[in-house]
Amino acid sequence: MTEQTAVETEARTDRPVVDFDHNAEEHAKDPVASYRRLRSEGPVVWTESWGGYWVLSGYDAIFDAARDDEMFSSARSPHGGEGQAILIPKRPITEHFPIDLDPPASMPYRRIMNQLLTPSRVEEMRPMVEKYTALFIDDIIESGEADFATLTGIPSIITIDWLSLPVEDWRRYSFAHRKVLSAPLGSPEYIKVTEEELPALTEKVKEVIAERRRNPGDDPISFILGHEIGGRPITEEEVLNMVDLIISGGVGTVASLSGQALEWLSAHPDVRQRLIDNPDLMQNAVEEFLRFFSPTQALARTVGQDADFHGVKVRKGDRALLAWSSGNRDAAGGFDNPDEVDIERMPNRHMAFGVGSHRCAGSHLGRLMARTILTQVLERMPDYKVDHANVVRYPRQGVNTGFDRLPATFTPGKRLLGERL
Amino acid sequence: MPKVTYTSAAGDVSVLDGNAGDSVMEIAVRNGLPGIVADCGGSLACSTCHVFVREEDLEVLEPMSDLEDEMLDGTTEERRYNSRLSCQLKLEGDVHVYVETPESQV
Ligand code: HEM
Ligand code: FES
Repeated sequence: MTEQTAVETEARTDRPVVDFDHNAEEHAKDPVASYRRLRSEGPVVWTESWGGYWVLSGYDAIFDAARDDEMFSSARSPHGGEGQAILIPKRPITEHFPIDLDPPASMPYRRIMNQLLTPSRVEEMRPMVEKYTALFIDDIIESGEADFATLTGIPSIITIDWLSLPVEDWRRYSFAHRKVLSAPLGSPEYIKVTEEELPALTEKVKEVIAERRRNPGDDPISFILGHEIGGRPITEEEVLNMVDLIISGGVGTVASLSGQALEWLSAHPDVRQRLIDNPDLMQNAVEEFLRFFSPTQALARTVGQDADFHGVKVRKGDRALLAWSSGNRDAAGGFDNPDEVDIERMPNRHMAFGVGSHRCAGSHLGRLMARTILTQVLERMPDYKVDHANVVRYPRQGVNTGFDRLPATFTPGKRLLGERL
Repeated sequence: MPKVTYTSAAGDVSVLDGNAGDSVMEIAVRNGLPGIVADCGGSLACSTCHVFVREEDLEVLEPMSDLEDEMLDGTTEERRYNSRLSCQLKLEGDVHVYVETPESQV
């Protein structure tokens, strides 16, 4: 025991230690500056926060780590506590497949996800995405003012309806997914959402899965239920593991991306006007907003074996944070002027959807939702103005960036559709 | 050394040299060719490295795995008989292959 501790201490003296905590208020104030400082210290550095972890902030280091599932595992393990390994600190939530597994175990689930979310399937969802976005804007357009933080509602209702879960619950999903990210850890609101509301919603999902097992339909849950894992039928619990990941993967990220782009465009009217005049630029602009804002800032892995990695000695069991957002601002990623928004940037090999075998399975849907929201807001509220002085960001920006309040005003307009939300 | 000729949907031609063991995707990305996005870095997780291979080059390439076949059902531009994912096309020796890149990868 003593010997082992001695060895560990010795190895740790090699470690380039920095003072850093991605969950701290200090970091949340200016994540971009915080990662710029880390990159100047080295592409891979060590912090003692949360029991200690490596921070990968250089493009190449993040890329190499994310491409090597054996060396940088996303599976659950005893290292660093109980719970989901892609988070530091770990969170003891429902298992999520495929993200909580490494290849080859992850692959059967990933293949089902891939089939569910191909460009052609997502294209079939376009009318629904456009309708809900229009309904949502209808809901606010007559008043001339709105809180764009409630944009979470759009990906919520789309995801819930697509999955054929009870649509009337969308406000609960929207609220819960925002509060999980914005309420202070340990606050009564946070405890209520994580210990009561989300588990209650999970129970409902379980009921729907059981019901679809009995009466399969033409919906994603029935589609997943129709598959086998290693020659046996997929279990209802495994379906839940996948559905819960779909719900939690797409709602906050899309709202964050759209909200940050809207805030930035309000402050940059020249670019906004260019997008209004040339809607064809929107697709490329969304790629640039993904790079620039990186809605999912950083996710973690566990080191699988002792090795030399980008100039440091990592050890089996070490935790490591892969900062996609930092890679996206690193000139080594081939980005000229990485701290500037260039809506025509090309090529743009950003890491906002991750890299490697777990690279976002929902990217086509995420892009469609974000593009639709931005396009419709620019069409219907072309003069909207964000009240920048009263914007409130999430108190933690280490994993997900986004807004608790994003107040805006605009010239009131007319409803488009007869129905209402 | 392997060589690849890439023709874009608009007809722009780039002839690029690679090293033994490089994939058609890696050679493109290293040279900043815009027609191949390769979001996932070669893990068969994104289908954004789609290419159309010149017919006579199809048989010099490694055969397609089941997963590549499935991922080809998820490309933005519809797959054709000569579609491949370029991250899976590792080149050895002095081959020269010709590929076309689709109009859009995302
Ligand atoms: C702009 C929006 C989005 C962003 C920025 C984003 C970001 C990410 C990132 C960074 C990962 C990689 C996780 C890792 O490597 O540890 C990921 C994985 C994933 N995302 Fe997204 N995502 C978005 C939208 C969506 C949507 C709309 C869905 C669902 C419909 C979705 C479903 C998933 C799933 C299922 C995975 C796990 C894939 C796997 O483990 O193989 N995402 N996402
Ligand atoms: S680079 Fe992602 S599948 Fe080829």
